[in-house]
Amino acid sequence: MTGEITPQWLAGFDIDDCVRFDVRPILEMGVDPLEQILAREELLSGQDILIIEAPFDPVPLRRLLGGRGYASHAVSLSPKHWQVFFQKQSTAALPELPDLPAFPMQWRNGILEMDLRSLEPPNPMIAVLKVIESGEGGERFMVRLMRDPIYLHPELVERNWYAEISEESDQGLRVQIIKGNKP
Amino acid sequence: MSGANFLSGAKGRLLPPSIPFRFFMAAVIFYLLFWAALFSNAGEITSYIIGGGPVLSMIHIATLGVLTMTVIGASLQLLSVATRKAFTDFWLCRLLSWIYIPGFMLLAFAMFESWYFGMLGGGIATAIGLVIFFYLIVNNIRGVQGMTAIMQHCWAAMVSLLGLVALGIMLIMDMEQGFMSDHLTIALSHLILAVFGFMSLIAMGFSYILVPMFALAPAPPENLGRLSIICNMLAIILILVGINSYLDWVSLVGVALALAGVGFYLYSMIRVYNARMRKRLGMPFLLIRVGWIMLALTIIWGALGMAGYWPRLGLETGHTLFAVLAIIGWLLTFLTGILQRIMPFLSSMHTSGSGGIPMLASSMADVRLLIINAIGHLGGLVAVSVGVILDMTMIIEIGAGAGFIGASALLCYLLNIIRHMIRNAP
Repeated sequence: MTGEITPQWLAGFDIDDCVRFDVRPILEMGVDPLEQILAREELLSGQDILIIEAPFDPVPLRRLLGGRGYASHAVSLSPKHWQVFFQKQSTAALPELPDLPAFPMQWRNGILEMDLRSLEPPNPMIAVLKVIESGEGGERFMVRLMRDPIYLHPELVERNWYAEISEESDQGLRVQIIKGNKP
Repeated sequence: MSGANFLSGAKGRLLPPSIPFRFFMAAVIFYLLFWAALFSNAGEITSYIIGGGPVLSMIHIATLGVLTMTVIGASLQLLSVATRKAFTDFWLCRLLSWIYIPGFMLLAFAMFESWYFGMLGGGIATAIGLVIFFYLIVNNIRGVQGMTAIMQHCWAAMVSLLGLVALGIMLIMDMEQGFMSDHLTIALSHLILAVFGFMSLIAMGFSYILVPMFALAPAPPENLGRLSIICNMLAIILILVGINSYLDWVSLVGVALALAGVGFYLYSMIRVYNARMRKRLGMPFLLIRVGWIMLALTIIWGALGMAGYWPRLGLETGHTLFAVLAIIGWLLTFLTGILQRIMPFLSSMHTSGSGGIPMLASSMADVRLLIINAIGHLGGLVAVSVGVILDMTMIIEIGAGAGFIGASALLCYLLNIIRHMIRNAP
């Protein structure tokens, strides 16, 4: 497994309803499958899920489709076989964070949610600050973290933002990142 | 959970401020003492090779006094947050300070006076303190998932710590008993384990998390950190084998690996630096960057020495310059930069402004003190290096004086931070 935590949009999906595309034979022939992937992406509608079978985690593709509003999730079935799931999210395009490893991110009810639990420190902090500075997360967004974001807090204060933990469990923390001064 | 509780979990993972700050305070006082001792004994350093006396004491004030105190304070505070395993044995952390700090003071004084039983007593107390530190760190990093490169650096540093402690005690005993056939080679092994095995590896390991955190940049690819630690560990092993078996070619292979290991480390740090979100990094990062340059120079100078180019300058001068580059240039400069950045940062986590929000680090103390510290330190480094190369005591004294002024400014800064922290305690 990749270490990525399964996002909620993948819960209970039926694999028969998904569009599956195995790019491994195409890559073995030395052909770039991007055009064929994008052709299939255009056929998707509503909450369809596209599954790409690849010999590696296709991070550039995930970023490309992320920029078109797709959330993604990668699973390593074996060292040479990855399944990557894509689903179009209903609202705005997701922020692009090209310097960071890929992680699950989606819009839910107009709120950006980022699951940063698979990232090593200090990357979760960097992801939060990059979203704040890009303005793409709006004035309130939600992050899931494994660690208390202890060193993030002074950085938020300097930017006139603050954080509130809304849930704490063995699975980590759900933290709201909110613009403004703490009430 | 309310916002007020936001930091409660985090604070539960922070040590009481008195624990890290007692080590930082000791480090800064020894930093001041180091420059004072260098000023008083400037004429002796270029001719020193081995034995008790002020120079031996001075080297240990820098390494065990400044560098190790900083490493202990920072490790105890930062590791628990990174590994998510809190140090719950506060009494053991305090016991460490009660044994290590006075034990080291006795050791440094006894080395200065060449007083054997003082060295033995101080050395044993210092060793006990370091073994407690070893226990605390190993207990914390054992079983940690992820952060592989950082953990590998910590493990390698801890193994080196045990080795350097054992050799240190044996070297002290040998001064009276004379059982070692080659005291100089064992002393050199002790130096390599201390400066490169323990302090450099732990400084490099923490860099992979601290530098991105302070510069606000993504962490470097973990593969670079792994390559670096593998090369550096092999380098230390080969150099130790080479010097103890008198096989120069083995040591040379080790030095080549050290060049590669340091190269991977510096490359990953440059990547972090170039990808940073915080554009103005201030005085701490000036010192940190100079520290990196000095690390590269140290390894290159060491390689030249191994290849036999030092005699043109004089072997004793070559050794002294190597020690100056490694201890003052790389480690003291780098860790002073880290201290400058970490002290206000940690203190902000222990203060509470309006609404329970930590205070801004920049509002706590006068940053002009940091500028004086940086100028004094770097001026001291340059003058001492030039003084050693030209073998001119007066230039070394001027450098030590500049360093002393810089260290005084850092002490004032620390006192301001502590005063502020006490006043604004939540």
